[in-house]
This record gives sequence, C-alpha cells and structure tokens, in this order.
Amino acid sequence: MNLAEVPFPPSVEDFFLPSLAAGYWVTKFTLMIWIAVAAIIVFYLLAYRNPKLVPTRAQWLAEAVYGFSRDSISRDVIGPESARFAPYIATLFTFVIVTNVFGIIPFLQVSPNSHIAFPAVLAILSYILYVYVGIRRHGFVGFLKKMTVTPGVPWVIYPLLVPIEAFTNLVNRPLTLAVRLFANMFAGHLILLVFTLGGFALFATGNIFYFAVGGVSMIFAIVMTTFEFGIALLQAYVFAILTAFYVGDAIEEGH
Amino acid sequence: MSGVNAGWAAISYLIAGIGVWGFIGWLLDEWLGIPQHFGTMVGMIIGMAGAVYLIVKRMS
Amino acid sequence: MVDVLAVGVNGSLSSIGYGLAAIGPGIGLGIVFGAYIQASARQPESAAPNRTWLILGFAIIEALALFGLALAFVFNTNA
Repeated sequence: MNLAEVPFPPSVEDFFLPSLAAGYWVTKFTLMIWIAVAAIIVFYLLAYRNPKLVPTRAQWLAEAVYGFSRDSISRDVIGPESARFAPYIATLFTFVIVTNVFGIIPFLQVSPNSHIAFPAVLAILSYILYVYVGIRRHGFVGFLKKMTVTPGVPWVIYPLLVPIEAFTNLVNRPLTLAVRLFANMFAGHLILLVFTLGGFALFATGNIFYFAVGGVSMIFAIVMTTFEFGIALLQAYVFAILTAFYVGDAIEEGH
Repeated sequence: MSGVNAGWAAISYLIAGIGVWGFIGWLLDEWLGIPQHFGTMVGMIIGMAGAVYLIVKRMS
Repeated sequence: MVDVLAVGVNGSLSSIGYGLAAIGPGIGLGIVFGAYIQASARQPESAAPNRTWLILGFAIIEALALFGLALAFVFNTNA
C-alpha cells in the first residue's frame, strides 16, 4: 500500500462497508452478526454438553458469565421474580459482549454496534419486553398511569409534569439505551481510526519530526485498544443492567 | 437507587423536560410568528423547572 | 512531500458556541461533586441528607449545559 494514499482524516463513510457480493445485502456486519450468534450457541452448547462437578475451563467460563448476569444483574435489580427474565438478560449480555469485542479482534476490527441499526433492534426488544410485562401486570391503563403520573404531587402541576414523565419513560428509555451503546462503539472505532490512520499519514510525510509523532500515535493506538476492551465489557454490563432495571420498574407494585 | 442510576435518571428527566416543553415553545414560535425563538426559551425554562421538581421529588 | 495533514475547516459556528457554553457547567459540576465528596468524607453521616442538594445542584447545572445544546440546534442557520 502506498502510504501517501492513506485515507486521512477518517469520516462517517468509513463505517459504510461495501457489500461482500455485488448487488446483495450481505456485508461484513451481517457476517459478524451470524458469527456472533453461531459462536454463542456453539459455545454454550459445548460448554454444557456433559457438565462435570469439577468444571472444565469452558464450563467454568460459561457458568461464570451466566452466574454473573443471573445473580449480579437480574436478581439484584429485578428482585424475587428475576428467574423468568434471567435467560433473556444473560443472552443479551453475552451477545452485546461478543459483538462489542469484535471491535478489537484483528481482521474483524469493527463492532456491528457502531451502526445504530443493531443497538436499535436490541433496545426495541427490551422495550417490547418491559412494556409487555408491565401491561400484563398492571393492565393497559394502570401501566400508562404508572409510567406517566408521579404520585404525591399536587394535581395542579400535572399538565406540566405528565408530558415530561411520559417522554422520559416511554420515549427516552429505549432511545438512550440504543444511542449510548451505539455512540460508545462508534466513537471508540473512530478514535482507533484516527490514531492508526494518523500514524500512517504522519509516516508518509517523510519528515523526521512527523515520523516521531507518528510513532507516539501508533503507541497510543495500542493503548486505546486495551481501553476499548474495557469499554466493550462496561457497555454490555450497562445495557443489561438498565434493561433489568426497566423490567423491574415495570413489574413493581405501586410506588 | 444507586449513584449511576440516579445520575442517568436525572439527565433523562432534564432532556425530556427541556426537549418536550422547548418543542412546544418552538411550535408556538412557528405558529404565532414570535421573533428570536422567544417561545422556545420560555418553554425550555418551564421544562427545566418541571424536570428539576420531578428529580428532587423522585430522589429524596 | 505531500501535505496530507492540511484539512479545511468548515462547519457550523453554533457547535463552537455549544463547546464554549459547556465549559461553565463542566467547572460547576466538578465543584458540586468535589464538594459533596469532601463533605461526606469529613462527615460520613451527612452524606444521606446532602444527597438531595447534590442532585438539585447537579440537575440545575446540567440543565444549563442542555440549554446550550438545544439552542445550538435552534439557532443553527447554517444547517
């Protein structure tokens, strides 16, 4: 590759990868989602095919991930009824972790979650889940009342507060859930692009001082990659725990 | 409610309050032809007041 | 030698305005949380009653930053 032709600065266009086969909708992102789904299914099936009392390494990892999402996320947040929701929360947690970590695996290098469509679908799933269990528990009117009316305030200021509550609980929640994950993954990938492509662009100038700065930029790219790994795990945790919190809020009795 | 949750909930209320009432004010601006987006700003201040009231009510 | 680093500057001025408007709330949030942490480190039993005031101060300051964000979009004539 000719170093002078490195595309710098990176732009939003870098996130729209070309179709793998011309004219078809299969892109790298589609492929990565398939890989993620297949990897998770195969991993959990293999790890639990014949469970032992003294677990193998794969079984230990599967039990640790599931145990963490069942105990520390579902049970602590939702409460006594968490058993019904633990499988969903655990699946969501694992899927978001795997797709986020794709952002730093060599040759994959970009997380599907850096496109708003994938977090949006996950957020819509969680939204449907908590609206559904809320309506099942409280009835349609009861659920709407729970979501829009603040208890213990004088009725005079309801016209002021009800739009705010309705927007917060019914529009803002899925929106922030999707946008937070998307923005973190998008910004993370962009930072890595800036440091690596910037490093190449500085190398290409042939100036000795730019060359040194380019080396610093490359080292920083490696540092940011390890940082991205932390962000990937943290965002998966936040996504799962907020879903659990919304579900717990929807099935909670009264206030 | 843990600290992180409280912070996100507070920001969520503020965005909702300022957004909803600011949008209502903006619609009034467009409808009545108020100059300098005056309605938007008044709406945002009303929304902020409501949101701060809600946050203090919910968190304490 | 190709000057690949020369990049044109363009865009909307209101985003710079929002950046400037976010400085004040940033400093204010630092002061609020710093003071709360210091107070509850010196006197742990005051942490719970002070939390209401923490949230109140945080909300009002954060609202100022959000005002800047909203008005940056409202007055964005260069869209």
